[in-house]
Amino acid sequence: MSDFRMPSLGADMEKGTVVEWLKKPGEKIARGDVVAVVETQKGAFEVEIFEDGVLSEILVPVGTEVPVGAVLARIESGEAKPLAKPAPPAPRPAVAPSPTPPPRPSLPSAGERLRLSPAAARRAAELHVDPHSVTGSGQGGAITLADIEAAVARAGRTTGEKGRRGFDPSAMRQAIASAMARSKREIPHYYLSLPIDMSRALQWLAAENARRDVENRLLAGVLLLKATALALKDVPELNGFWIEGGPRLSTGIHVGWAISLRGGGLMAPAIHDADGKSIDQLMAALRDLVVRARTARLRGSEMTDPTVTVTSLGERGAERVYGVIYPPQLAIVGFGAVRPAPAIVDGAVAARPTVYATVSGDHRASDGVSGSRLLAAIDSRLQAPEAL
Amino acid sequence: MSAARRKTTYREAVRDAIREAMLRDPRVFLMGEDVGRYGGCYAVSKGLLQEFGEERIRDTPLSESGFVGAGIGAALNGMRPIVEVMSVNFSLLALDQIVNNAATIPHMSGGQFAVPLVIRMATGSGRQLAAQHSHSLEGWYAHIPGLKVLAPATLEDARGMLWSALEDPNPVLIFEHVQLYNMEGELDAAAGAVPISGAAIRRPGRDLSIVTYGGSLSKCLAAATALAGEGIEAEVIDLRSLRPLDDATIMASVARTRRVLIVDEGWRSGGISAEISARIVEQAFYELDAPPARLCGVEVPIPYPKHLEDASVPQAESIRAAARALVRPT
Amino acid sequence: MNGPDPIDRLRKILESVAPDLDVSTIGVDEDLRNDIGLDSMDFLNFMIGISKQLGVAIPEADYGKVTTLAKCVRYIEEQGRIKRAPA
Repeated sequence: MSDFRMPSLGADMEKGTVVEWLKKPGEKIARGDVVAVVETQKGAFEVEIFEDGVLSEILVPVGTEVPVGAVLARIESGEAKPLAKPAPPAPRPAVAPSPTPPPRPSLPSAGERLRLSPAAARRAAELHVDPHSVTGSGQGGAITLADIEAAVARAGRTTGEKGRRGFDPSAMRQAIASAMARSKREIPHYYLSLPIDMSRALQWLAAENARRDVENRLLAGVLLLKATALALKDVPELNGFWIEGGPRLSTGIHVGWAISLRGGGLMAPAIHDADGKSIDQLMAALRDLVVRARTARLRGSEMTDPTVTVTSLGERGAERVYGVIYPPQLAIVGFGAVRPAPAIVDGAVAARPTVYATVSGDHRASDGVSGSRLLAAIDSRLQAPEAL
Repeated sequence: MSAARRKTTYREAVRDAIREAMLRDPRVFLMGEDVGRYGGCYAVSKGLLQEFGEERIRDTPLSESGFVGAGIGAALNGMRPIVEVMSVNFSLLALDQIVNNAATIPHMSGGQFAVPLVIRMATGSGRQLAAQHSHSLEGWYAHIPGLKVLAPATLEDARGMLWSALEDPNPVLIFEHVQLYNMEGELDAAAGAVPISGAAIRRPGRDLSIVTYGGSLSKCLAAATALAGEGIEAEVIDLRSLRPLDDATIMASVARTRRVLIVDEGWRSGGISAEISARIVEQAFYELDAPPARLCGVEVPIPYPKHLEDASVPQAESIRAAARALVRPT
Repeated sequence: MNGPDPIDRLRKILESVAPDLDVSTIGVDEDLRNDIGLDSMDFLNFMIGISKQLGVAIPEADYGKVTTLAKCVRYIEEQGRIKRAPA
């Protein structure tokens, strides 16, 4: 018997609401099955199970908001071998997403004790709400049960009635705010940039697309994605997480691709093992990811797995983007718009299509020299597009 | 007998209860000051002397200790006496009989003697009878092991508690609030004995529990009706019995509403409301969303002037205000 | 172009490409990239949709001629190959 818990789908996630159960009690489940749809500040996600067995009991009914780590259902293991926990499958990150422990309300000192009703205290503990963040409406400003429940309702007010399932722009903003604030608070960023001549890459791309059917055309972004993934193989110290005071590098290169949402906000779901996929496979993966991001059909694991983030501003927009690292990742790679820029070619000034590649690195985990090597590696990969 | 209802008063309901008991069981008799020729100081026993005769409707000397003691003796000897004490204030003259004898004899005799005695007395304020006739001391009796303490607050209970009390082998004290005697209402023509244990939820509600008994019940119900108009749904619990207390009903209600107001005409210090509050804190602490509140009698001897007398005990308006403060502070 | 409004047909394609958009509100002269917010992937998918539904393959070099719905219709009409849907 094991517990199926509310997963943490990102550093900024504290709670989620089960909006759909896709398996019934008594139903057999296999590793990788989508078991439930969970709504978070970033919208709805499909949550997979990572073991085989039988769903024995659903503990959290649809519509209930619970903190990260709360037990959602119980799983009867296929074989009753409690200690034989399967190792994470190969494509999973070295750091398996583990439910983060629910935030514990810190205890105030006796001098400034919170006025908290017993019922409110118990409910706050159940819902893992920090009562210090709640304003009391009871006698003498005491925090009541209703205050706790209202705080939870406010924090989790996301409904599926909008165009995008479970998407609430203000909640999304809140989620981004908390992740980015944490990043800037905790991560000492260093920033590097390098202009990259895109002539060869774009020529190769134009030639490819000219001979391809519309359906099989490629986007420049895929070349940037693949080049980055391959470059990370050379500079592994930028691929992974900062966890418990130290770097935990990942063997898999799961690139979080930043997708901006038209309703506002953005997300960066994972393209797993991007370094090992062909350009066409990456194109297919990217297309799939964009559609699912827009229709809120992303998997929970896609939110937790990225080991690095790539943000590309596309053909338009700013020249350079210095990204803010998404905790607990170690780096974010940015690409500005591709523009003609003067370049020295064979000792003469020539106009060449140019993209500025940037990297923001976590200085706790790596130094500028690593970031510099990464940008150089991306450049050199893009000079040989046919090999991507 | 059909389920026809007839108009009656609390006074008549008590009288009907006594009549029924007299008719059903020849061992039953009524005694007390002025219960016979005068018909009872609150006219409860009017007409009973004519119907049942001096043997069974007995006027007594003005000696509470004497006639309560006689009642205990009669009960010990197999009778089923109903002893009326004019007011709880006067019952203090019989405290020795009630506390030292009635309540202890079954215990001290190792269960060899039962004291199936019923003592009825009037309690409470509201009739301008001043400080020697208006107090609410039933909470004191609820302190005494060996006694049962009842507080009928409805016509049904006024009509039905007496017979059950007579059937009980223990001494049972029935407190009739003086303001209830004139209370009118309809009663099932077939109304009869009711259980004497257990509290009753007289009005369900979700926002707070008002725990009360006796003369304060109708005021609490009036307050609850008014509170509903402002969106506050009060649950009103009629304790019915002050000893034993029905903890289960109280705690279940508090667990639902999470707020409790105890309304008791008796004084606050050391009163029955203090006991109820303590039990709630002991048994339902983690259900509470606010400290238990008490609305009790002002700690003065009950004044004679009408306006001061009214101001000295909980009234519908003050109950409403206390409930509102509990549910919507500030 | 006769038959069903070609703009509506393009809107339908757009809707399948970007289900999060309320396509009925898209003006015929609005720039699909700059005003509507299609990104390069959305735009490519739109081109694929046109190719599949209307049988017109717009080469990458002509992307600059199909930046609005109105321009798309003109471009497709010029190709003279838009298919008429059954009435």
